[in-house]
Amino acid sequence: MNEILLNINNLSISSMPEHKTLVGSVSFSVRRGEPFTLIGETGCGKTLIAQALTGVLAKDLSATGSIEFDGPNLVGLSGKERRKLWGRRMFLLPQEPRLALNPTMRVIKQVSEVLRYLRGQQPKNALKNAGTLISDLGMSSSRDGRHYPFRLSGGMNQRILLAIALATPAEFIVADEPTKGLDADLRDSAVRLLQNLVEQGKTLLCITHDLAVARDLGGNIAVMYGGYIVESGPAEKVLDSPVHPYTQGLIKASPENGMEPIPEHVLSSMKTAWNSSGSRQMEACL
Amino acid sequence: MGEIARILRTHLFHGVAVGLVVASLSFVVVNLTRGDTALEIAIARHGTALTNEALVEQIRIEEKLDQSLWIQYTRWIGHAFTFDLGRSLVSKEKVADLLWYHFRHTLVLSVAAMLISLVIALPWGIFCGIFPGGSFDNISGLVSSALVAVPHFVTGILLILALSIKLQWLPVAGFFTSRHLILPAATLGIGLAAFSSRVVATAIVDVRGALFYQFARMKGLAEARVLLGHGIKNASIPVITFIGLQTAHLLDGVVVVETLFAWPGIGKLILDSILARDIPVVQGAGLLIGLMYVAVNASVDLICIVLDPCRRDPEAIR
Repeated sequence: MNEILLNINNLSISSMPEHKTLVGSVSFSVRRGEPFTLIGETGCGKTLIAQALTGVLAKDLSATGSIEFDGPNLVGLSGKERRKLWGRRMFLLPQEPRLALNPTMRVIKQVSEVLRYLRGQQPKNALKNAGTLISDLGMSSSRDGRHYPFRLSGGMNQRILLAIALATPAEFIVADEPTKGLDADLRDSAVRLLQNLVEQGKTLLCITHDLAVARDLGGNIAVMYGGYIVESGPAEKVLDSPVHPYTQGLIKASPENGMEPIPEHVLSSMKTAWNSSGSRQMEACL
Repeated sequence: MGEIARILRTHLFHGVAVGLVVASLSFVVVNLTRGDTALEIAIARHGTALTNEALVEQIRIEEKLDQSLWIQYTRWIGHAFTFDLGRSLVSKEKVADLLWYHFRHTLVLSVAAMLISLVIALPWGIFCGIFPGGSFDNISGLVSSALVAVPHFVTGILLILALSIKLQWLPVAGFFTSRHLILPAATLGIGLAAFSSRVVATAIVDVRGALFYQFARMKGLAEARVLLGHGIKNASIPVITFIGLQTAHLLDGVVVVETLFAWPGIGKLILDSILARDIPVVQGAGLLIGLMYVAVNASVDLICIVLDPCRRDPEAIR
């Protein structure tokens, strides 16, 4: 078995008619069964990477480079071939749990249908196993499971999404901003749920702007700015002794460290460096 | 289910209010019509040749048309609230019996028209909704605009010309067998289908653009499974609301279509009664149609409550 599940090499994403580079030449790899965190500010291109990876990139964006997923390259794969991977090999946890769930279907059914149609379980068994998944995540399968998404809180809906992720046979889960809009307590429990995914043997790519999430998840991280990875390595090492001035600035800018703004000279020096290297992509971020 | 009780209560209240307004309006309209009502009734009952002044005066007293309008009005409203709609001035039959007989025919015609429209509009609209902006969708938009614009009597006459006179497949008019139902129902159904297919298409486009629909795909479900499990039910909520509104359109249409095809429904009854100055029948039919609207609205609300869990408990929506 290959130890590296995902190997991204020189991935660039640009908008189509203008050929404006939004993500420039990003490379990183994710080891099987480990968490990997992509961290950066809003607009730095991390969500685009998740979209290119799962194949839901907007039509006017195009990706070049290679995304090797357990061997074959995903860049340039047809929609149909992509579709075969969804739910079976990879799974994208969306940002908005409430909007991602069908408003007119009981949540337990939204979990059980995955077991039923992807794992071929009998309807009754699928429902029972979905109940187990839901109660394993600390909810009542008989009470909360029978509710519709609008009756559940954001945190509960997110657990339902995680139950769905666990129900799918997919080994690779991409979580896009899993802690967006959550307070500290809920954030901690969301991180525990993600850790739970990894414990269950899934490989996790977590996309976040929250340094605490990256620290708690562990594994490797990559810090992105303006469409580029500025620094990467084991979470502890990068977060405790950052080498790049932007990473240092980002850590100082986090709420725990007094929210000190990232110094302007750091940002402008990176801008100059990239401009001289021929990229016109920084505008997306600044 | 507190919400169902609340809806029934609201619509019961609406029913009473609509009944009062419609009963009053139909009384006013009937009495605003020019000409001598007693004379018209005499002609309708006995024919022009036998009608003379003595007969007209006799009818005026018999039917209490000599009393003041105010007294006639209060009598009508009072009776309407006890469901005593009086007797036809022409045939002397009970208005309630007349209405029930004709209402059944209209009901059959409307249900048939609705079924025809759904059989056409659902596949048509769903297909357009799955491939929006395609050439089929664009042509469909044109065709349905054209069909909506064509009045019922034109559609009806064209269908009669083509299917009854040219091809001789179907009877021109009457109501003796189920074959008689096809042409009038199709005339109404085609107009309805043209409109509903666009609503269905829009509903499908909306639901397919929803995040939960994309997510259902990400779960690995097959496209047909996604459409059946996550699309149809959600898309049907706006469609059913619209179909309820369309019933109003249908009730307009039945007057023309029933007259054209000699279908003995409520629309034809109204037209005949207006021409014959049969005041109690006109008033009773007006009241019945008004209450029909309320009943349809109530049913739409109830169906939507069954389909849409959010509406079952509106306070839970943030």
